[in-house]
Amino acid sequence: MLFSSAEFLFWFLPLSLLSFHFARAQWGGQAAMGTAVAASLFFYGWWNPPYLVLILISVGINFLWTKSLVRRPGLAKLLVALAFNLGLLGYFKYRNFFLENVDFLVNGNADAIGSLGPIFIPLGISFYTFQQIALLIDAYDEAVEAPPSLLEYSQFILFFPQLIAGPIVLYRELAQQFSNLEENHGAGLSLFGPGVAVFALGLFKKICLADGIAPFANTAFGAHETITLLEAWAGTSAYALQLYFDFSGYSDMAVGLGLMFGFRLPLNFDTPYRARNMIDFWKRWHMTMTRFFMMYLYNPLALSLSRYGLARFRHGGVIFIITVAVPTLATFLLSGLWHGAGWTFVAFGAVNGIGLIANHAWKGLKGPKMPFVLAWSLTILTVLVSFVYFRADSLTAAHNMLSAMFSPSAFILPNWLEGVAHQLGLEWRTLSMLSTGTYAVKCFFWVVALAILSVRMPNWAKTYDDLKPTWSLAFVVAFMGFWAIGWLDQPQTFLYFQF
Amino acid sequence: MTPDQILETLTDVFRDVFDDNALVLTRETTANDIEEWDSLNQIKLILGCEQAFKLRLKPREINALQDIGSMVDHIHTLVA
Repeated sequence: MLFSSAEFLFWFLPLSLLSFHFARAQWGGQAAMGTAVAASLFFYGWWNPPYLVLILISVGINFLWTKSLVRRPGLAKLLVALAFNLGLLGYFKYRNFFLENVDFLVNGNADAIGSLGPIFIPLGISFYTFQQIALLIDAYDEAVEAPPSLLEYSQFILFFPQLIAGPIVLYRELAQQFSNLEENHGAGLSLFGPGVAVFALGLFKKICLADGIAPFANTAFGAHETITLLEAWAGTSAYALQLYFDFSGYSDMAVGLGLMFGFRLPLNFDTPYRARNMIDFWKRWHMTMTRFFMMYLYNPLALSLSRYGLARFRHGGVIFIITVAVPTLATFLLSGLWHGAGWTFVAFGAVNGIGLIANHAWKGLKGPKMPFVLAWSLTILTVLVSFVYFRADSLTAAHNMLSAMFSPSAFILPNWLEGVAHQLGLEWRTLSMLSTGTYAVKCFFWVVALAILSVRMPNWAKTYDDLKPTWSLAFVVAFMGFWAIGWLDQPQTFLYFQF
Repeated sequence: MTPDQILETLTDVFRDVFDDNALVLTRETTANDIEEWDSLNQIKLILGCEQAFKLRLKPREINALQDIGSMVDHIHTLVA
């Protein structure tokens, strides 16, 4: 059941909100949380009921482990818990990828793995696994004051607005909100209005913008074998905008839904295409995932390596490699792999990691401050290259796209510009993507319009506390809502649901 | 060391890491208030604090700290 589907919007959401707030008013916060957990289990089971068993086992075991770690922290206990969670994630998400690569290394091909059959990844497993791992580590670090009750823990992991694709919430962000609700002085309906506005914005981003521009990206990446320079740039730009509006739209919907229930969930996107460097970009893009990797992987790794490097070496370059390059690259390679079991995702991580290392090196060497346009262009260029890997079905497809983007010989004009081509002495032919002038103009319009919106659109998921109930806001929200509902007939899945 | 002295020393550490002698810290300052605060500078801050306060911090120890005020209080409990 997608957030952007009719059954969710007109049936599931109103019923779950009504039951939550009715239970809260009649019987108190605990009863309300009970209805939210029940609704979340129904929501999750809607996709594939058998996976309910898996998530319930995971929640049950992790709940007991967390409780035990809060009471008596122990490294062995933590390691067993981490092994359980990573083992589960590894089995369902990475088993085939791992076996295929072993097969390739041993036998020189990966055909034998075909007998394993396709793997079905349980929805949201990467997200709920990370959220539980974060709490386990916090419990081990004695950073959890009191162990959550089973109800609080279930709501923390299973709450449907954030269950499938984040934001990756930390328990400390919700613990106080749970206590307030249980003591009957939670947010109640005070955040409902802003929640509707944030949700409507997310719905509009997803249905009208992301799904609207998606066909251009799909056509381009589908034609990677014959693609030309102009088409490759158009398709890659279209995909970067589709991904942003798809995932930030989903994240806005998650934050908006949380607010409708009276919970504040963390921000996931902070207008990332305004970033002037790679460090800035990763402070704005998929923020809760970046935070997880920084807190639980990069910081421990970088700190250990820094202590080691600074104690043993004097040469600035060597220290930079040990203290900055190695932990940054390791973190981004793993974060790439977290997105999906494929070498394209590892390459996505590598491009971003290298971009960040270059950014840190420039800062470390005190390079001159670049003009904004140059700095922004370099950042977006790096991001676009990484997104080619992120979207492509294989490394070959990604390299076809990239070679078309950067090879002058791929600069071939479409047949409807034959006259111009003759005048300028350029090559022309019938193109597979920009085959007609109308299609090319439509594509150009979508890319330019969405590029402007991506940097100019207000970010209500960040500023909802400042939203005032004015007529103009009501008009804008209604406009977005009606437009989105008018396009509901063919809801497309969210790109991040595959992770 | 009093909390005020800790804040003063912490300000020196921050000025050194962010290479900004005009930087002023208050108990309410957060990572969002300092544009240059990134993952690498966070590591430098931990190492700077270890040196300035003669203590050893765990890698995730400052994860839960919300602002400079909670950082001052945390260091106060460690050096007290």
